[in-house]
Amino acid sequence: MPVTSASITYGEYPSVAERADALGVRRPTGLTMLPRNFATANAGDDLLAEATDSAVRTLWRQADLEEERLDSPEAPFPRLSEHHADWIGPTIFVSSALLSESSALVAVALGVITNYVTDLFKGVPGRHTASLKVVVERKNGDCVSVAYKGPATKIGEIMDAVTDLTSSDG
Amino acid sequence: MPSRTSPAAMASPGDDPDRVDVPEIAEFDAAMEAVNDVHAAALPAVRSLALQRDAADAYDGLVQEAARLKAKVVERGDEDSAARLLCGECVAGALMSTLRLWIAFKEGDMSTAWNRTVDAQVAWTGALRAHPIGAQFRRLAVVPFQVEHVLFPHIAFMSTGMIVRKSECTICGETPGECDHIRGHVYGGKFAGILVTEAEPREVSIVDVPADKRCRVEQITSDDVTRDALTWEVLKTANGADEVA
Repeated sequence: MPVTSASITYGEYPSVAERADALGVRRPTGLTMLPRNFATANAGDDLLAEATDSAVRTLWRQADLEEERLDSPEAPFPRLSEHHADWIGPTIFVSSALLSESSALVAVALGVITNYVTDLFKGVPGRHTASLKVVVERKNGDCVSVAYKGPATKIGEIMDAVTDLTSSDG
Repeated sequence: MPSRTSPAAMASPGDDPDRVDVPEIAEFDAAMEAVNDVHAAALPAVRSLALQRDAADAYDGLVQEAARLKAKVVERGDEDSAARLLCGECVAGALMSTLRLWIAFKEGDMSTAWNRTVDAQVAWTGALRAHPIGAQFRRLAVVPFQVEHVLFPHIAFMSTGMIVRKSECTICGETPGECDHIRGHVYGGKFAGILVTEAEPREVSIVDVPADKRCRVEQITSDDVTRDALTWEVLKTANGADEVA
């Protein structure tokens, strides 16, 4: 059962390596955006990216962060576009290899996303909700997730939750 | 000097301590001041229709003027001035939409009044996002959001879900994510967006907070009576006879 604390939800996530094998996509070993239905899709052809992944891709590139893509620029995953005002971020996968090599890089990668979303909605009237999920791979290959859903301007709260999660696999 | 008691008198892209001396911005400031001096008095809802129609046209002219001046600074590659003028363009647009909202409301055209309310919300949001100087308009920007709750009933909004196969960056035409433009940021005096060029519909949902509040339920049928969702006027009855709307 997922445990919910305020607008942060912790949960289990299927083994990303096993799902990648089942879907016929590469096993991610670094910083990756997972399609929304990565955990449930029947085949690689069914995978659907989030509409916001393009902004995150550009933000990461401009921050000199190396993204490991499951698709390619020539054959990108189709994107889900849902015309509501919420900002639905992609699912960010952090491999155990990346965590052991450079956990600071994870903070930077999430920081550029949360700063972008906060700036986008700061001071703007109206109700703006944002969501972002981070999947962290344990050393044994198991995966856990932490998800934020709440006011867009408070999305930075996910940072502490991710730090807690990544530091508990000592 | 413009009256500082008028909200519109604040509306100037160069009106901040860090103002840069750019001729196009000075020109726009002067044009904005001139329009405010004559027409800002028409902004309260109770002013006469004739005054408000003239004022709406004047602010519309200011929108065009901002776009013209913006094109000049963009040609010089002056990104900051272009963003300031985009802010001014949005402010003028917000004031114009507010006036057109009052006009439509008084004329009994509630559908148009709603659309102009949303236009004003979008324009103020644009002003806030275009450039840091937009922060001075935060207090004014909430007005059309308050109007939404005071003048209109609860509205059911529609949202279309799509699977996007192909799309383009509205700034450069590249595939989004492959270029350096980020959705919502300003480049050359324009907001970067995504133009969907190939998609398949997935679902239509009723949502509380849609991307576009103009996508709404317009008619409601209950017990064989169809009503306008805004005015509650009966549009059609069980026997199919149209009522006078």
